[in-house]
Amino acid sequence: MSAQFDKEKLNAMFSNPSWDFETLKAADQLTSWIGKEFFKLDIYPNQIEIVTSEQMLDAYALIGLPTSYPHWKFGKDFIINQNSYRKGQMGLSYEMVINSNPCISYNMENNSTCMMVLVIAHACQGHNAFFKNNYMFKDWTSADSIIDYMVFARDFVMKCEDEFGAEEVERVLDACHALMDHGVDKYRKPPKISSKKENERLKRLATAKVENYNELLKTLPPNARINKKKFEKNKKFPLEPEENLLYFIEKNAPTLPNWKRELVRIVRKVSQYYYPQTMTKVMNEGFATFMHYHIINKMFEEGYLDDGFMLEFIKSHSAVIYQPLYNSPYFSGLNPYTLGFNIFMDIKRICENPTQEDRIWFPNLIGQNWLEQVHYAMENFRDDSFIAQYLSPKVIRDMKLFAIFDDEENDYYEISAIHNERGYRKIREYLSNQYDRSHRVPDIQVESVDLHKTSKLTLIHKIQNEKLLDEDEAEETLQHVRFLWEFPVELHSRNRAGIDEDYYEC
Amino acid sequence: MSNIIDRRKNAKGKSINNRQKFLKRVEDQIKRAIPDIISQESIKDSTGKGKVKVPIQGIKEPVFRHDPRSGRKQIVRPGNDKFNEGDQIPKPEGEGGGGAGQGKGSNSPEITQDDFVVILSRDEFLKYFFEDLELPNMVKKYMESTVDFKNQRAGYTKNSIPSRLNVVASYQHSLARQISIRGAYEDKIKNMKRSLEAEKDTEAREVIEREIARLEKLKITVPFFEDVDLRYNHFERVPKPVTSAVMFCIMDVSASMGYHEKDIAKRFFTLLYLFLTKQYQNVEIVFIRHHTEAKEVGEEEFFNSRESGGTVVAPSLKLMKKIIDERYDASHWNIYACQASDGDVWSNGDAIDCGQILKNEVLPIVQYMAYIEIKNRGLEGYLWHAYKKLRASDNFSMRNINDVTQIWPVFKALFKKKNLVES
Repeated sequence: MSAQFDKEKLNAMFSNPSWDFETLKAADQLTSWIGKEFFKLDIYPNQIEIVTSEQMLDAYALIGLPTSYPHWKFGKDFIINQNSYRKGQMGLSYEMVINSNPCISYNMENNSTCMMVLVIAHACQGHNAFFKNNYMFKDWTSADSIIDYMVFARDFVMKCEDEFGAEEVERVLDACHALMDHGVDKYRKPPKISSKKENERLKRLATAKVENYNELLKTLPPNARINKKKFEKNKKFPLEPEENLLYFIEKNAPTLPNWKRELVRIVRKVSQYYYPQTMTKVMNEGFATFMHYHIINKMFEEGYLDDGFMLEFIKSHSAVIYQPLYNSPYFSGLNPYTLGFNIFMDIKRICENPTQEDRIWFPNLIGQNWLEQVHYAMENFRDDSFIAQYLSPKVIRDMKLFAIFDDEENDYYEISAIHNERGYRKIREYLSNQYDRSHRVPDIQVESVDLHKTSKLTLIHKIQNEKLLDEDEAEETLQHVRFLWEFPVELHSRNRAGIDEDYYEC
Repeated sequence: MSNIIDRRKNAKGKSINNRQKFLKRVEDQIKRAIPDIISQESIKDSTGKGKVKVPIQGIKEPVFRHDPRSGRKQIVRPGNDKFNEGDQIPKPEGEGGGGAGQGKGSNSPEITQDDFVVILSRDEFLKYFFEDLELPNMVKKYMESTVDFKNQRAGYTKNSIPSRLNVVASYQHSLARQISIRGAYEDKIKNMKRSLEAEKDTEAREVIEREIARLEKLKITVPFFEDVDLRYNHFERVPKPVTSAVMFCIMDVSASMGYHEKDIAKRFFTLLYLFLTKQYQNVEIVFIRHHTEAKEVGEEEFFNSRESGGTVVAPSLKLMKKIIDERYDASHWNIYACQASDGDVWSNGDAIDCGQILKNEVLPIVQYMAYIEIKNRGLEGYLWHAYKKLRASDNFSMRNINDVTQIWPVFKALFKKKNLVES
């Protein structure tokens, strides 16, 4: 099989620090072959794009998507990134890759040959395989149609700008962006989207409206019939609390014009698309790092790379997984590359060389094929469950993880667990919670709508771990909700005993 | 299977549109920052090619989020070097010490809501700067100052000199002519051939054959170029607007003008200079300072050296007139003048002189003259009083400034688009 590659030629190519497109093509073919042959990677076709630093900044602003609807927020991100890049405060990443089919990755033009090979192994094999096989991405996103859908979104927003004025469109999008975190179906898997279907749906809506047009209907108060029916049947609306605020608004806002509903829907779909990304940061980076490490080492073993290349590779690789310690001035949280890589490496180690401790902690992994186990982990978990399942005492010891308890009531922090026998399970639990969505995004749900007269929307924030909302921002965000709902809105911060600790109204 | 694409050649500026949208959002802030930026630069610097940094506050993007200070949290950190379970560490004074422990990768540039700087190109900056302003009398000058002409392309003409022959346009016409004439011959030949087939008589056939041969010959000898094909580049003489301007800065440096007054004057001159460079390709500045006597000086000396003495204004206006006569012919230069003074003059006679000179000698030749009086006292000075009579003329304006913050509004008021004011 490997006869298809000319070792000497490739060796010479890869040891030349400046690359050309032949080099990239060879790197792509070779890593694809190794990925498939030795590591059973199943990937989307790759689309590797070579970009300048400025184009990388563009890609940053649109979070990697080749196109998106126009909005000042992306301009702001662009300016901020550009500023810090020019000042040298921020380096640009060597690559960026998005979950699409074909899998688009952006590679910086000033990468050395070694960086290019590393990046191709990392993004075009590691991330690509992760996108295609992890259950979150499989169930929540449709890689086949995202680009298509964004084209639809861009055209639709631009059409609305023409028709209803850029300012009004901006106002709606601002409000939707404020609720983006609350536009995700966490349990219900969304149907797949595509621009063709969306356009057809819109057309159907329009024709239905034309066909059913009746001058008499104009004399009815808007939505009177619909609301009445709902009210008669159910005393309470909605029957079950709804956590997807954008969805609820899109479907139930009493008098929102259709084009605004469509904008809400677009932002909701985009939010949905990014949801798996935010839930699998550690795993995704960890797996990609694990894969590039193995693929490049395999290339070296097979004689495609020379020692000089490997030295540069090891230097870059260690920079990627560098974890500043808690007391270092460079510390900015746990490095997801490091944590993910360490856990995946440890899964492999446990399968191959288990210790007595591992036999107690991971009886299921002992003696198993490590590659199968790594694939299993990659496919079926997300960050919080992955850590809860696979964070081993050895990784905790190696990284010297410890937990600090911070209670606003106390004027001190307490060390609640360290890397010892008593601490392993606690640290594993705490760290898993740290990657749980509720740690970052407050749990806010639609409780009820007053269908009697005011159409008032009642939201409940369920307080967890006594964490309250940032009051100023909650006020402002609520104004955005009010704007979309078009009727009064209230928000209760409610604790477990069912007592309101905070109350907002707008 | 894979596809490798070189995107580097793609058009730049994918984010330009969104950047503009953002700038529009912070437009007010940019405009508010302008006076500050101006006051920090020297007059000549301010037109440099460089970029302008405008500090602004980012627009807030509120979301429902936890108050980082509240609640009970377990935070996991790497690299324990000295702690044991149960250790207590006092919280730092003040803030909660940034307890949020979200993982952050090198892939995700964390963006803070802090103030940041928008870098505008000089042109963008000036656009904001002078958005509602217009040069007084500029149109008038354009019409009047048609002393210079330039040739401008204006399509093609049929008659001209050989050196202006436009080969491409001529050839297009030639091609068209050749095709149409050949087509006509071909039609005739076709008809002939048809009648040849129908004709039985040998003699008549011979005639037709001869005719066909003649037409065939004509068809291939359609001339390549005929006179009617030729097209020449056509030029039109268009009046060339005068693109040079000279700006006179006249300032009172007598003892009564303190640092504060000079600072205000300087900023005002800077604005005017910027304004002119935006409109004209070439702007020169003449600095005239005066106490009891008037003198032309350099920028440095104009603003920095201190001299004491009383105040006589008329000589400075005379000097300006002299310099104009010597160096800046009014038909080639747009002349702007700006005078700054604290309004003190020694005698009413001097003030009346000034008024006369202005009225008879200066105003007829300058595009625009602005007089700003920098003073805190409410009393009208002699000079103010004398100039007041001239307020009716449409190329003269005067205003009173007594605070730095008034400069921009006053400047705007002086140069407001005329039609805006009228409407």
